[in-house]
Amino acid sequence: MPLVLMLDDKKKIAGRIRPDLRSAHINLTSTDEEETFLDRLAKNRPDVVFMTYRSFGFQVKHLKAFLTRIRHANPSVPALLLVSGNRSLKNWRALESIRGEKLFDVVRCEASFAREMTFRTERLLELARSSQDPEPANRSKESSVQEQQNVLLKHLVPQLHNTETGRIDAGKVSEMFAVPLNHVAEMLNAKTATVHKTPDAPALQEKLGQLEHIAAGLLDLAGSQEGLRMWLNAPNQDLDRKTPLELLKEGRAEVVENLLEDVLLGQPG
Amino acid sequence: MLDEDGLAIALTRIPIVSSNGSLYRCVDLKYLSAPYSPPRPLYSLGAPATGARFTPLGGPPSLYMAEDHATALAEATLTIATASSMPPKVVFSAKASLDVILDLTQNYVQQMLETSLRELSGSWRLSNPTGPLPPTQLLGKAVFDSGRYSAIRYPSTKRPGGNCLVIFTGRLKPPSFVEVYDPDGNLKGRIP
Repeated sequence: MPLVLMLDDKKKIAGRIRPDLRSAHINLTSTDEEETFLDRLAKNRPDVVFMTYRSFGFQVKHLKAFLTRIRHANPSVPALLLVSGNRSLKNWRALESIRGEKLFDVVRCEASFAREMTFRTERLLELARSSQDPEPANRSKESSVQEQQNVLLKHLVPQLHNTETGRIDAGKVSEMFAVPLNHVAEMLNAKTATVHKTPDAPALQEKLGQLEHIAAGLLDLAGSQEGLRMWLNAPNQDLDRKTPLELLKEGRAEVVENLLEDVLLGQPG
Repeated sequence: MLDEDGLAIALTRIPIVSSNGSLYRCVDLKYLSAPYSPPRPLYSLGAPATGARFTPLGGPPSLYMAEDHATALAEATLTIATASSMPPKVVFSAKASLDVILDLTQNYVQQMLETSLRELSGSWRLSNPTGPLPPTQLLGKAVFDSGRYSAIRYPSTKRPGGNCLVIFTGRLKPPSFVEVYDPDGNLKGRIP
């Protein structure tokens, strides 16, 4: 479980942040002594450090000096600074000037600051992890590039089609998505008995076409049926932590379709 | 996030920033091939057709790009990608000179708009198309309607530390421009 170490001038802030961090499976320990903080930083090797601006008497130069000491003890630990919400614009700009360091972030203290700090901590942890990984560009070089036929001129996913009728078959969708046929019927807003009787019925083709479009995008992006199923079953940040499969069952296939289309088009979301 | 009226006032007070440099996007090759040829790498009508983070459904033409190559690649990859092989993708860059940007990566700007990184990175896709706009689309609409800005700079949700821009192409006036960089001339596009 990741550990956060906090320099908290009055030990009040830590108590307000701790429950949110705990629900994100992050531990928090705090102190109001700078030297104890630096000692723990060296000994406990926390994953992220928090500080309050108040601890430095609201002086940027004191903050900078302390950051230098933190970097000396641990050059790569991400740091979050908590600032009271009523700081002036001039003060904010002074703080922004030290944000050049990418593992440093500033959060202002307001009603929902605990959730904001938890969110930013998760991002900093992710950033710290990714900066230890090889560059994505290098990874892509290692990947083999598979030449494909222009799928737009053919059936999007031939495996989903009935070989005799040529139509998309709900049974094959059920197989590829690894969901029971009655769940596919739910996605199609059709009766299970109807879908069971004629899984490639012409009346089902429009909605089955959406599912095929989703499958095609996923096979492109995830590279395999296993990857397709993993993505469909994983809670998704872009979907409010719902799984894509949940949305399909709610009859909101177009949301999943648009999300995948944006990724294929590289449109920042 | 401030309400519509509050945003309209705040947006007249926030300092603008300008930027000169390169922007990036990573696109599946098939979208740059037939039947989409000639390719239109700076196509900006896709976002209003389906909605996007700062573009409501039916909103203004908007071009979304990343500020660096790695962020462009992250935005074009599934978060749990397991692919050992993948179809070809094209990363292209565009030279951009933008003089009126709202910079949401700055904390003081977030403070003036009464928003947070969490809200700016929140999910917008599940909002009801006939209900109230999600906060980021409300902001995007206010920014466009203000007529003051041609672009918004915002933190990437896919790559912490990376930033993206949405450019309201209808608001780009010379000397501002965006132009695809391709010395071989395979990809072309310039706005305006």
